[in-house]
Amino acid sequence: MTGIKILIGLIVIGGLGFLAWWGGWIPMPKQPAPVPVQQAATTTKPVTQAEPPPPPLPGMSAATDAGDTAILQDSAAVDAQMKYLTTDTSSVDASMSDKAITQAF
Amino acid sequence: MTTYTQKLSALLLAAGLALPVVTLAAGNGATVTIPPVGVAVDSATDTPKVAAKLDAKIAPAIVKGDKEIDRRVKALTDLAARLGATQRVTATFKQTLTTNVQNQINGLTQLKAKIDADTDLETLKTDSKTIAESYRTFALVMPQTNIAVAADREVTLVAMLNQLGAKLQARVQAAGQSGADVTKITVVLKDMSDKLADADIQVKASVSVSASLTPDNGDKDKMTANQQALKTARADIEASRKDLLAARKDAEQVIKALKSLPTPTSNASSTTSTTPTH
Repeated sequence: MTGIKILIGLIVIGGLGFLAWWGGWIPMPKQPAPVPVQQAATTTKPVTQAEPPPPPLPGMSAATDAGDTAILQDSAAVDAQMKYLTTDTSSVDASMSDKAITQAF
Repeated sequence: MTTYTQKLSALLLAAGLALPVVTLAAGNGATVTIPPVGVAVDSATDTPKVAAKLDAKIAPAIVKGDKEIDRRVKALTDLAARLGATQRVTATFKQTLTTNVQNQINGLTQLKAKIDADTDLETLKTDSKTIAESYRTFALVMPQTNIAVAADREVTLVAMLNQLGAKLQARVQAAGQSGADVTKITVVLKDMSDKLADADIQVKASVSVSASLTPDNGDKDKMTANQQALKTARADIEASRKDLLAARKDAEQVIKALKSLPTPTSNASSTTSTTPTH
């Protein structure tokens, strides 16, 4: 009988304690303030990547040389390449008009 | 297989029929082929005759197939060499084209080896059909790559003529500053600049219209679209070529005119390169 009384007493005390907490009379321990996560440093490539230099122009003299000899050299270099224009277009034409050899059994 | 054929032959022969059977010895395993009806084998002595008739069909077909393959492989090999020498095509595009060309060469080489080893007509027919089918890829890869090669040279020439034009402009300016009348030369120089600008547009259009084409794989609509795109690219290449020829003539005209002018007092042998902006 005494045990039941003690049990009821404990339940009552527990209930009162809950009500006290629920009602805000008992302050809850504060949560530690969140530590700001340090953003890991990342290595980034520079925005402007160096473009590869243009390939040299075949047979041309220095770009800064506008002398007679340089112009003569450049003209010859241009003509040397121009000669292939006809060949190039002929190759395109030939490949576009090509016909397969067909087999007849 | 041979046993089954022998049994079948025996059965039909017993029924009074002549079953034309020829056994062609393949490299690894016997292959039995039934030749055209009408070729009878009455005894073992007739087998060479049948084989000879079959050889008469197979051998020329192999030669013809080889000839077509060799023709294509040579064209592709030559093109691969020209493609390798290009400088201004982007590395990615160049790699794609190189891979396409090499795949074609590899495929055709393997097909040729297979055809050369063919010993029966049916297999040879199938392989010959493969030659014909593979032509559709060849018919795209060849002009597509040729256009890229032609475009590469034209882009190079645009750059070369622009550099020459900049030098000529410097010389014309120097002559003008020395008191010479450079009105006519300036007009020609302007035309040169315009032609080069247009050549650049045309050549870039030729690449953009043809670079992304893929084999039609038997799709007729796609085949038509591909052909049209290649024709457009071809026209662009031609337009660029004409612009370049005109620009070259302009340059020559300017050079001649400069020679006829009095020598400027200031030496223009060293200038800063600028693209003509007139």
